[in-house]
Amino acid sequence: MLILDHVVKKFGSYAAVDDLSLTIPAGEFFGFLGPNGAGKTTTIKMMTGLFAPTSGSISINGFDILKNPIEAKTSFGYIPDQPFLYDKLTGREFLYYIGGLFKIPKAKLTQTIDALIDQFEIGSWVNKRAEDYSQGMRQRITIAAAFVHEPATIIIDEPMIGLDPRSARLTKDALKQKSKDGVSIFMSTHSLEIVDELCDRVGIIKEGRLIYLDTRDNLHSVKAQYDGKLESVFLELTR
Amino acid sequence: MSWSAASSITMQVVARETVGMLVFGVFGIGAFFAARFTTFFLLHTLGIGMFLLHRFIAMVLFVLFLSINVGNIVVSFSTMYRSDEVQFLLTTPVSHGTLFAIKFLDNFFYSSGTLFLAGFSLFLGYGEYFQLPWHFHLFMMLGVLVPFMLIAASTAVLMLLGMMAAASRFRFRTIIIAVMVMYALQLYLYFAVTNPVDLANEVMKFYPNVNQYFGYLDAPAVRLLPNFWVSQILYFYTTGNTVVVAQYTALLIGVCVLMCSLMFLAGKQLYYGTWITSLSLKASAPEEPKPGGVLRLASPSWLPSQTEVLLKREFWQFVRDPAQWIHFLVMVGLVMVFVISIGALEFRLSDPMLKTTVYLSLLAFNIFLIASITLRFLFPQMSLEGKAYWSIRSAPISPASVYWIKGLLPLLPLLVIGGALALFSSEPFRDIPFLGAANGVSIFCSTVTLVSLNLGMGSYFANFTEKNPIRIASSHGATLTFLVGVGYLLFVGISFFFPVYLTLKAVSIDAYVRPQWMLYVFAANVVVMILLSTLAHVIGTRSLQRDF
Repeated sequence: MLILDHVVKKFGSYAAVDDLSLTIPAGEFFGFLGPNGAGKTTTIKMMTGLFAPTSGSISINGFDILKNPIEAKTSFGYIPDQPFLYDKLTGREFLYYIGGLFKIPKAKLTQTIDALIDQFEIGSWVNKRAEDYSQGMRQRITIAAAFVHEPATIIIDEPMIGLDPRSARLTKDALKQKSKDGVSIFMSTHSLEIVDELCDRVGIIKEGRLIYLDTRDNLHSVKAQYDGKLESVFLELTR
Repeated sequence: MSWSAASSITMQVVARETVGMLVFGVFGIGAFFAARFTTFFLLHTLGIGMFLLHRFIAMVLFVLFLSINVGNIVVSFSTMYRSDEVQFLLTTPVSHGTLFAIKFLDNFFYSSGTLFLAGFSLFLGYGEYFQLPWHFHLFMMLGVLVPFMLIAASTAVLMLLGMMAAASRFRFRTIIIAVMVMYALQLYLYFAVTNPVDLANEVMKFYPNVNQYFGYLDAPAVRLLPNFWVSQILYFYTTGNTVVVAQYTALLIGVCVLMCSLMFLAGKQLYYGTWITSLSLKASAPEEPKPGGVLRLASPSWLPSQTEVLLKREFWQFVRDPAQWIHFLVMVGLVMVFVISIGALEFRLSDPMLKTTVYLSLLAFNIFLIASITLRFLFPQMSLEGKAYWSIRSAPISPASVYWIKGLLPLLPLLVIGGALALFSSEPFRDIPFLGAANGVSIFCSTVTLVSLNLGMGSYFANFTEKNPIRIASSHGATLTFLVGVGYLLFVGISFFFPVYLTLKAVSIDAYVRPQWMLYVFAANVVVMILLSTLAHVIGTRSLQRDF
């Protein structure tokens, strides 16, 4: 479960996130939409411990990210918007590295990594250094790294950037399966099709404020009031 | 939006920049007084004469030349052949020659700031002692120091172009090893030919008539080197021989123009081809080691898992980056050459003040070596996490744990290097009680302090967007840290001056050597080590909590 309680993030006098409150229950697939610069990535960075909120609190699976960061971080996997890896490590080494940070026993880690390599069709690239990777391959490794410790929650920032159609399909299938397995997923994206296909509930943020929050089914009924396109709903709401 | 918000100037930034300017200012003033005092001490107190003074200056300049040269090879390799910016610029309508020139000048000016400040302050102090006019300083900066540094930098880049061109035919590792051996040989041969102790003994035979020109003592090969020309310019300027000054200046500037022209021409012809070669070098990089290696991340370990993966990651990131291990080997090589040379020296000196000067000079040089190594390898540690630092910040590990592992891992080899330096530089003073211990204590305290300082300040000034460790170690924050380290070096030198002098004086007259002389200064050094290290670690670990 994810709880954001009156979260504010200011950079100087500019409020990137302004009094955001959200509760994502266990097992829900939540889509977080918004125009560029709306505050999506800032929100995610606060949830994952990369930013500290100016005020408010964020709780992940019962642990406050600021007060109990170690316990909170043990329970989620994070997929950043830009898949930066350590250039001199191979993909396999990076996965072992992440597994070690999450204290996964070596034997179990080896099995999990082999399964993830097959699942995301990484192939022989896994033994090459990250500095030789394309954007898409880095993204696959980063996604696999988020799954390596089998977290209860996955926090994703723009997962489909740089992915070819096959990789995008593999990622969507993996996320769908995780959602079915009861994993909570918080995903920010620009892709309305992804939201439409995967999410149970949708939130739209604009200029740091949550302007829409409802289930996907209700969003479809709103869509019907326009030209039947989700894009039109989005553009109208974020106008 | 208000001006202050738009300009993003905060009190923190103002305070940091003010402190920075103060440190630079103090360093400049310190360098001025150090140069003035050293010149006075050598000429007036020790009476070594003008010729010997300028030959010592030539030796220091040789080491400086070699350092700039090697440093430029390593940094130019990173910025010219490993930079994403170059990849992008090659797709734009910018000629290869222009790109090459821009990259060279960018490197040169980026890494030369501290040297210009130091050079200006040192020449100011030197010139002030000899009551030289204001245009001397301008002339030295623009007409001498800049060409000198440009010769060092341009020969380095020419060497690099040659290496990369050869890499299309030969194994790159073989080329690197050959170049390293060549540099080590150069250093050894230079000091074999211009042995400072032999030179001093030859000149001091004429004491007190040591202000003559002993040009016949200069080895012919040495006269072909730029550091020699600079020392000659200084010597003949102070003795009022403007004709010879003009000749050597013309030679220096002429060679500078020649080397730079050759370099730009070579760059225009070879840069793109060698850049393509560098891509194939990258593509042929070996993969992870065969099964069974204990250093593999997949191999089991008795260490806690987080410590294990962090240590192994640090290891592989280091050994797989040529900019790191090559430079490390070069610096260790320089240290080894130094310790071998010093260990074999016999100082046939009787004057306690002269012996104290030699002892403290060796101590200062040892600490300077440690400071250089820690600046180069410890300061960039947190920055080298790069944008992949998200993996640590979002993982269930405190950034402070990562910080300590990054500090502890290099501390052990540095203590070994420091130990070797202390041991060998104590050899010439092996018969003097407490001096060996003084060396050991001072170098131990210095190593711990400098490691702490560079790790802590490196975290405070961390730049996660810069991948080049040499550029990180040449940054504004690194320069500030280095200057603080130099200030610490001065403290160590000053704190040991009287105890060492009193000990040597007591030995020279067969008097009792009081252990208290050394014990008090040992205690003072340990206290300063603890204070500075603690401060640096507090600053460093707190800075890790900043937004990433």
